[in-house]
Amino acid sequence: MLGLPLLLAPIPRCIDLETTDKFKAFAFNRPCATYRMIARLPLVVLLMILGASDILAQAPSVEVQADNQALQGALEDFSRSQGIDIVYTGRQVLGRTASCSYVGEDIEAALNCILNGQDLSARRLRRRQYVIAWTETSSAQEGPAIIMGFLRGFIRDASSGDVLPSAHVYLPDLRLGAISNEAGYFALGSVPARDYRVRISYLGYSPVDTLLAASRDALQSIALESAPLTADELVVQSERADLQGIEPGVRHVPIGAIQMLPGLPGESDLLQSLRWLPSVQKSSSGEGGLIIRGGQPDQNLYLIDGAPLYHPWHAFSLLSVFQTETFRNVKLYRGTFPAEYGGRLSAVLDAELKDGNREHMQGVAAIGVFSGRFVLEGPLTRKVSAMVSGRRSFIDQILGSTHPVRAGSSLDTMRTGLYLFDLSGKVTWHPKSGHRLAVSAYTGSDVFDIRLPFTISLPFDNPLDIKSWLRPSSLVFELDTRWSNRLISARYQYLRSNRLFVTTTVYRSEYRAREQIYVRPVLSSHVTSKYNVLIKDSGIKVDMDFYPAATHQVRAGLRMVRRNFDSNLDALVLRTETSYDLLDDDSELNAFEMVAYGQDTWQPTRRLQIQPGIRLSLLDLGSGLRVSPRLGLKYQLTRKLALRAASGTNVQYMHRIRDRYSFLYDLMSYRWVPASRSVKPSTSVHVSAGGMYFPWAGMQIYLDAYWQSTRGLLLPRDEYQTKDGLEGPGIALGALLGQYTRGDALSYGLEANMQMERGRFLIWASYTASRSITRAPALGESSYRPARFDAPQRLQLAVQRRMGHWTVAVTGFWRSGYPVTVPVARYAVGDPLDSAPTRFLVFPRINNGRLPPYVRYGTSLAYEFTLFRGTKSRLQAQLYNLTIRRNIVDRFYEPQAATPVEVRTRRGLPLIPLVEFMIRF
Amino acid sequence: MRIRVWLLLVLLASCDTVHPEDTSHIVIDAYMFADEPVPAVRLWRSIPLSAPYPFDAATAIDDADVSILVGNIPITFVQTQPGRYSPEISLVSPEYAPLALHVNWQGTSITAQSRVPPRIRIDSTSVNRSERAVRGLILDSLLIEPVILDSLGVDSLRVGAEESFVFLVEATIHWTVSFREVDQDSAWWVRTQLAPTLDAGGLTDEYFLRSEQVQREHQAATQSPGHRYWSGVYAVPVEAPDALMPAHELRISLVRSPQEYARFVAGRSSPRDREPPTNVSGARGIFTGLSLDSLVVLVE
Repeated sequence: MLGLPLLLAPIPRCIDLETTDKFKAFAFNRPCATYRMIARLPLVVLLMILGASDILAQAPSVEVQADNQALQGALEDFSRSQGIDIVYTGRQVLGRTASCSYVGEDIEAALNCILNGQDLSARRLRRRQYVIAWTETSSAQEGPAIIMGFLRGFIRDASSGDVLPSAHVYLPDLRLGAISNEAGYFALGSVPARDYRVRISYLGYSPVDTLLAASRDALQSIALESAPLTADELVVQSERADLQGIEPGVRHVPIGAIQMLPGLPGESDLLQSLRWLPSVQKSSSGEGGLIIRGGQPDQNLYLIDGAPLYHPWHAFSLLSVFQTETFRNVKLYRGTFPAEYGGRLSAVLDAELKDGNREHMQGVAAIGVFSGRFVLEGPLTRKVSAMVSGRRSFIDQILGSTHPVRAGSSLDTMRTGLYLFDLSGKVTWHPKSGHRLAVSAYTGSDVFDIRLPFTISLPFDNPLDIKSWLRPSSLVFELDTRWSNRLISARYQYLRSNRLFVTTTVYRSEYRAREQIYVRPVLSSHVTSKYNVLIKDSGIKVDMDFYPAATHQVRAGLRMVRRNFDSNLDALVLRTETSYDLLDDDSELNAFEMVAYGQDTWQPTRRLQIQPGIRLSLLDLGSGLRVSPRLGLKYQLTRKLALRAASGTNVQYMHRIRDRYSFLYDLMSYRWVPASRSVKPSTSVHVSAGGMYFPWAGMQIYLDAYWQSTRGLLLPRDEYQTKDGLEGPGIALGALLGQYTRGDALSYGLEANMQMERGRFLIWASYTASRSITRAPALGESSYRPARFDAPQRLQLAVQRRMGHWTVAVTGFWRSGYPVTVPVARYAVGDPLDSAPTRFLVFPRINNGRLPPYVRYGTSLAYEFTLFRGTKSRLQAQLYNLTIRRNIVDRFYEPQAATPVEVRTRRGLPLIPLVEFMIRF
Repeated sequence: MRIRVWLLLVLLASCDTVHPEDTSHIVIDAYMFADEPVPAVRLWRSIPLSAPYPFDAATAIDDADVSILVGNIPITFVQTQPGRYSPEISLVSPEYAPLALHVNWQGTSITAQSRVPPRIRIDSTSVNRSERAVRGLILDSLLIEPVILDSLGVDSLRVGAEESFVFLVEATIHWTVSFREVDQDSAWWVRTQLAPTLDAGGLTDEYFLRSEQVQREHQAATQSPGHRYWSGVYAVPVEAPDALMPAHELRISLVRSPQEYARFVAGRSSPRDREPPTNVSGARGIFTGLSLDSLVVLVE
């Protein structure tokens, strides 16, 4: 859309080259280059998409006249006259002359005329780019043949030997690049065999400039040194940022920098750190989740080593399961994903666990306010490395989990078992060059196990003396809720040939939730309930990277996954001996999904990168074959400025919903249900466009606009229905789906992000202007209304400064208040069974108002020191909500008072001090 | 130029969709009882939040044209008191009769449809109570809320629950279904309610016991074909375990209704959060046919 005005606008006349043929109409001279690029980019892209490249490539008249002219001069003259780029080395041209006379239409033939008599030949690499290559004579009949080769290899961490995915390999002579795959492998196929200057860069590592030889067989191994500062510290990543190396659509997360910024929970947490990116906000509801570009939390796909994770949150979303130091590579895709990703509408977070250091043992241990954690990695044998990490909260160790309490002769045992843990590990085996087998496992759980008297009270004079607020009681409530994720994946990667790299992943992922309730409100009555939810994913993925030419990198693959959705309920509501209800219900569903995809990363010109892709998916429950096309574009205007655009459609075959009536089930858990004939999948169309501007070393500016339309969401039929009774409609799928209706959503916005590193300062600013709106036509909503977490304006600012061993940071966070439904009047309605009319409030429209703006400041202070020889330690203290601002996070209205309606508010967290100690060895 | 475009987009993106809303809405409650004369209809007006709520002339709607079609007989209503409109003729609402309401007020047209359900009668009831008081909960709220001792501040956080002693009273209602519960007839709903004339267990009744229920009639418990029953329980708090249960009256009610009334009643549970769904077009409130039977028993 943004390109349309430019497309239609007349292009001003600039001073052109001397030629007037059709081909030269697209050549440009320096003074007008930038404007013309901007003006013609949409047209060029459109023509390319429409397959009009043949028209563009229609050959002009070519003429060469050289008589014993220096070869280099002849090539330069020809390059200028034809507006082409000719790549050669000094060794190929110095001291040589050219004599040639050519009139024709073939540029390559004209070039070979210039090179006639040399052991050189010209080869077209891509549009308007030719490479001079050495030749060898294969036979008298065939004449000289160009020696072609591959530039390929693996990129590794110099210290740990771990492979580096998503590293960028760039050939400045050819202005051609490649991205390493998950195994750190890169390949630039079919380039003339010779030495090339190569620059290899990777976020958080010092770039390497080297000379690599393209040959038929050589497999390079390039080791990158991590940046002088360790990865979790203030990393000067912006200096090493490489504009060429950014794929369209992907956002590599500079976790090292942003995780040092103040914020809950005050310890290493990947998903919490992501909130510093524009358009990434955290749902403030207990179920947690990230809201990315206005989507719902269930529209994000979280992957650990290729296996999906259904509930990546701990402690009612206070912490995520992603412990930052455990991962070597994290990619976040917002809105538009490459074709290999799908199944969600909003975002994909693809995280890869570390392989483990192949050279030596190393580790991290830390303790914060909520939990302690460790990461240990190292070589097991020469070819096998391993990593293991863990985290556990310790509040239960301080408070205790069981408490025998006594009052006179009464004895009781109260429970406050609250804890969470994560445990992950990975073993990687490198049997031989080009082969790698990695087995990863993760398990994590939350336990919320309490047995408390109904009449509990928490005295403020000594709140930690738990026995002072517990006492024996005959009337108790017990809640034992546990939810856990378990996944295991095995990934085998091998280099099948120069051009083909195959990755096979098999995985199994489980999400379990269990809710057990026992309530005794009256000595002779009780409620018992056991409720279980289980989702199992078993899948296989095959991904193939194919390198047919230097300008093409094709990725294709297949996925098959079987999903099981089980839930069961066993409950007894005993009121009296003769009045009781038994609930015994099971729900089981299975779904099988198949996906095939293909994608090409094509660099047709020195400046343009096109990433077309297509994804086909099929669910056996009857949703039909779905085709999801994708397109990503990147255009490098200058060395400092690049434009990008992406568009695609997505399909989500699962909905996350919960019962909205009963206390006995879905109290804290959610259920995922597969799409079927009766419940269509959600679909979305996403378009984004923007630019990246790196004006000087240490400064990065990102600006993006996006628009997404979503259909087939499940929205609550009654937005205000809250759990208000013991018995609900039941756990059968139909009963659950009956509480929802299909709806549409629209989100659009502008994102700006600035990262600046200047001396000892780091400044991070992100701003989002966006809207997220929904409607449910079945409920009579013809127009859109603000979605639950719609926040039109959002601004985050952080300033961090290093002073020797000290690092201090100050942050500010401002956003519009979330929508709230505000009553405008009140009324009363009588009922034949009531003695007096009941008063109600007039809620004219859902989310018709807004809470006051949310503002929060924070600060942190970190000190780095050496506690033991060979170790590095850091002590960090934070203040969350520095100004103790009591933000209003919810608002209620009390209609029953005879006086004017009473307004009650719920406020956010007060000032919270946080501290963490970390040691790295 | 591009900067201006971006600024425009920023402004557009930040525009909100909050619109000023009308605070004056018409409210109707009109119940047509099976085999009983058509009663009066009430027409009220909503008032702003800042005003206290009087049920007087200030909230009444006067000079409205009100008519109801019972079966195919039109009945015109006349205003007899502020906001109260009575039928000009006396007519009994027959079972199964379709109902149509039409109101005209200052150019506003209000319509609603419903149906008169078949008559319902309580065949029998039985009331039992626990022999002695047992420990029980008096529940005001399940939320943990601050307890303010005095003006100096908060002393502690407490759940709005208090342990006391309660008698449990269980009442059972039996009724006969005199029609075949198939097709349209199976669409009737029943509301059953136990309403003691003293302060009972409050939220304990609501959350854990059961003093009221709305359900599809064909889903109510049955002992034999055509005979259905329902049991409810409520708590009567007393001061001590050896205290006698205070004698009190218990009104036992049984209502048969179409779905619109069931939805209206079920949607009234959280007036703080939402409005009950209405079947009236152009106004709020309810217009429905009902069949009601109730009796009062002395519980001691």
